[in-house]
Order: sequence, then structure tokens, then C-alpha cells
Amino acid sequence: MVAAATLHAFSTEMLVGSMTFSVIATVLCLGESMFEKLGEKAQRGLDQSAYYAAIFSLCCIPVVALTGTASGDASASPVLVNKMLLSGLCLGLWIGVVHGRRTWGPEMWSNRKMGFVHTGFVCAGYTTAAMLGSIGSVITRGETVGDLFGIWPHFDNAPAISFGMSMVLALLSLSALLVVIFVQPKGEAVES
Amino acid sequence: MRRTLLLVTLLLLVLCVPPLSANPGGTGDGNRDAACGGSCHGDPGLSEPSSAVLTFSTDRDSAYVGGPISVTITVTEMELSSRGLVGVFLLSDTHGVADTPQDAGWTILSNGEGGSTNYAEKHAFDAESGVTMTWSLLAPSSEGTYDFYAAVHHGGDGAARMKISDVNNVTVGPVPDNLPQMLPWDAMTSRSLGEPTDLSMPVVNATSVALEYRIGEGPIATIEATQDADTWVATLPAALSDISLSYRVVMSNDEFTETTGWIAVSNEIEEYNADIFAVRLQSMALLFASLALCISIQRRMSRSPQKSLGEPEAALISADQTSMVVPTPSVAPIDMAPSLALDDPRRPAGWTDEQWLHYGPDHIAQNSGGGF
Repeated sequence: MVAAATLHAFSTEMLVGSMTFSVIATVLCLGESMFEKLGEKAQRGLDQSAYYAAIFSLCCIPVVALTGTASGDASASPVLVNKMLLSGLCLGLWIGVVHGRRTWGPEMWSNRKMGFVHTGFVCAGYTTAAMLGSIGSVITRGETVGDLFGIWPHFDNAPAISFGMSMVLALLSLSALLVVIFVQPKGEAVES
Repeated sequence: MRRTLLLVTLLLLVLCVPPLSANPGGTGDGNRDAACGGSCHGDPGLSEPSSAVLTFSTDRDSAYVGGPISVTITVTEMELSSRGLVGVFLLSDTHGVADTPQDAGWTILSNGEGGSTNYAEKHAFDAESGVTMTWSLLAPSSEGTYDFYAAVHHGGDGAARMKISDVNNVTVGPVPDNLPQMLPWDAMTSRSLGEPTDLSMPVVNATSVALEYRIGEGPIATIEATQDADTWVATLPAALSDISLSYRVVMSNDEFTETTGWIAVSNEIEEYNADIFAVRLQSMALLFASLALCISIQRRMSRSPQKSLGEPEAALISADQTSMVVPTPSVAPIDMAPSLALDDPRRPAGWTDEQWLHYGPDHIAQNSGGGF
């Protein structure tokens, strides 16, 4: 048998690799929409690459979270608690990234405002994943490359929220999501 | 040309990666073989040699079967990383498998760092003072000459470094008749703060047993143990703060006095314990909230003003409430200026007829005292 920690490391590398690929392709797409140096064909290819890499990353996130949960007792460490919380945020943002690209379609790069917003979501999701990786690095190796930035958070303290309040927060956020999905008018793809 | 430049840049980046790897933050104390060099410091062949000076010493020339002995390893003059972390091994062999003193039959009562492992990590202040670690051991159950090696893993000058000392021998001799002895015992190496600890020590051939303890390198205090059947019992006072406490057992009879090595006690600080179900709910809350935010912004942005104008007709009708306004009967406009002649000399130049008819009365009232 392979230990859960080994599977966690494996799936994390898959996740971070594909996510990095997606981020780079997305940023290049944004750059192309602004400076138009690579051509429409290249931009289309970058967009597709970013999209499918994002989908692959999305598939990896639950595997990473599950193997990570099996690797250690999160209740015993505030750092691991923060890792669980950030995992939820990362998953939410990355589903949003894939949803946005699917909704707006490949022509979204013709609208610069949409391109910036989409790239912003991608960068936010990637930053969250980087923080998760940084926490893992601190746990296993005692340090993180994030320390080079000087302001990189270490998450040594976790919020202490009771079960009841956590339930209220979950229900409120679920309600907000349901309202957005079922009440707000659906978005439409950008037409060329 | 650009592709070549890109390829050369990537190649240079690959070459910039150092071939050495290590765990600069350490791997934590544990029972490790000499082969840990293959996992903690990358391949042993890739680790740079260390300039460390390893000094091996014992608190007595030889040990008796099952008897206590303390082994001290001092590491000095090594290169140090910015963290100054040094990992020290006490090994019984260097084959890479079954190298720990326990594998050779020794019992580790304490590693001097609040545990009972053969590998422990410590931060060095500088290379000159180095680090010193003392293992408190109980000898194997068979006589003979046993080998010991000291080994060190550390970083310094940008490389992972390691060194293994030459062999050191410890002789384990027969037990003299009537020698006070500690039977195999799991020494207490950690405890909670604020709680006194009852220690039950399986000692034979002793007429008195005492527990000596000290805080740091401070003065030694003594507690007499009381015999309870086959064990001797003493209570170690509670520690009220995270102090460095160590203790040893002194066993005496009319002929001999035997003393174990110092056993360090680590303090278990109150453990963090979160409600995992609450954390999962918070994680889900963050997931839902962030997703709702993303979808909301995306849907809002994808609806252009033109699209908004193309709302269903019903929506427009519901917004148009002009039909609800009751039309008022038309009232014939009151002719306010029948006497206001269009050729009135008081009419300012440039005014149109319409302006004159509308604003004229006010103009006359303000400038000519009124009256048509």
C-alpha cells in the first residue's frame, strides 16, 4: 500500500503543475488581448490550454483534499485547520474560474474588462493554492519559498468558530449561492 | 533566434538548480538508521562532507548487563546554515539497516531532548560551542563489546553535509553479585504542565532508591522513593511553566551505588483541538461564498446594456406604469397676457415671441414696476 501522505504529495504536484500551466496560459491570453503580438490562432490555443488545464486542476483538488485529510489529524493543528479552510476557498474560486470561462466562451478575450476579471479570478485561485502548498512545505520541510517575499502568511493561528455559528455561515453562503444560481438571470457567451 | 534564446534561457535555469537537496527545517526527532542519509539529505553520495569534530564520551568506562550508562556526543567546528539546525545520531552500526542502539539490544531511556530516540535535532548557537547531546542508556542483556558511532547531518555553505565518526567501543560486563539494577523500564520523558508525576521504578537489589532532579543545569534536588512490592515509587513535583527538567534514579545498597543517566522531561503544552465538523462547515461556507461571488460577477458582466434592453416584454410592461395615471381633463390655458403686446417697447432685444409671452410679465414686474 502507498501511504496517504505519498498520494497527497503526488496529487498536489499534479494539481500545482496543471494550475500553473493554466495561469500562465491565461495571463498570456490577457497579454495577447491587450498587445496582439501572437495572433488569433495562438490566443485560441492558449485559451483552450488554460481551460482544459483548469478543468484538470479542478478534478485534482478533491483528490488532494481527501488524501490530505487522510494524511493527518487536522483537528490537532491550527495550521492544518487553516489548510482545510483555504481548500474550500480554493475549490470555490477554481469552480468559478471554470464556470466563467464556460459561460463567457472563447470570445471573452475580445472584451478586455472580462479578460481582466477572469485573470483576476485565476490569480486569486492560484494564490490560494500557493498558500496551501506553502503550508504543506512548512509542515514537511520547516520552511517555504514564500518566506522570500517577507510578507507571506504562516497561518499559525486558526479562527475559533463554534459549530452552531459554522452551521449558520454554511447555510447563509449556501443560500447566497442558490439565489445566484436560480434567481439571477443566466449569463451568456460573448459573441464575436 | 527567439526560440534559441528561449531554449538557452530554460537550459540555464535548469543548470541553476543545485544537485543537492536536504530538509533545512529538519525532519524531527526519531529512530533512524544511518541510511537516513538517503532520505533526509538526498543521496549520501551527493552530500558534502562535514568539517565537524565529533567527540564521543561515556560517564563510565564500562557498563554491566542491563546497567545504566550515559553517552555524550559533542559536535563542534561544523559549517552551519542560517538556521543552525544540527541532527545528531547515536548509531550501533553504519550498514544502513538496523543501525540503532535498540537494534543492538540497548534501551534508550532518554536522548536528553525530551524523547527516547537515537536521532535528535538541536539548534547550534555557533560552530565553536556546537551542540552536545547525552543519551541515557540501559545496557543489553548479554555481555560483550559493543560498537557505537556518532553521526551528524547539517547544512552549511549552501550544501547538505554529513559525517560519521570512527567506531567507539563500550564494554558490557557481567553483573556483580548484589548490584542494584534497573529492570527494563519505559522512562517518563514527557508530561503535562502543572501535574505531579508518580514514577514507578522496577529496581532490584537496592535497599534505598532516590530520585534526583534538576532544572536546567541547576542544583540537584533529591526525593526518596518508597518501596511498593517490586517497584520503588517517587513523585516528581509539578512543573508550572515550560522548564527544562531532568531526573535520574540513584539505586543503593550496602556495597554499591548505581545511577542512571539524566533523563530529560519535555512538557506537553495544552494541545490544540478543533471541532473538525465545524471546520468542515466553515470550509464549505468559504466554498459556497467564493463560488457565489464568482458566478454573480460573471453573470452580471455577461449581460450587456443592449441585452438588458432586450428584456421580455412583460418585464418592460410591468415597469411602465403610465397606464395607471388617470388622465386629467384638459383645461383651457388661461390667457395670461392678452394685454402683453408683442411690439411692447419694454420687450428686451433678442427675446422670441414665446419667451416674451412666458417671461414678459415677470420682466415687466421686476424692471418697470408692473402694469401692462
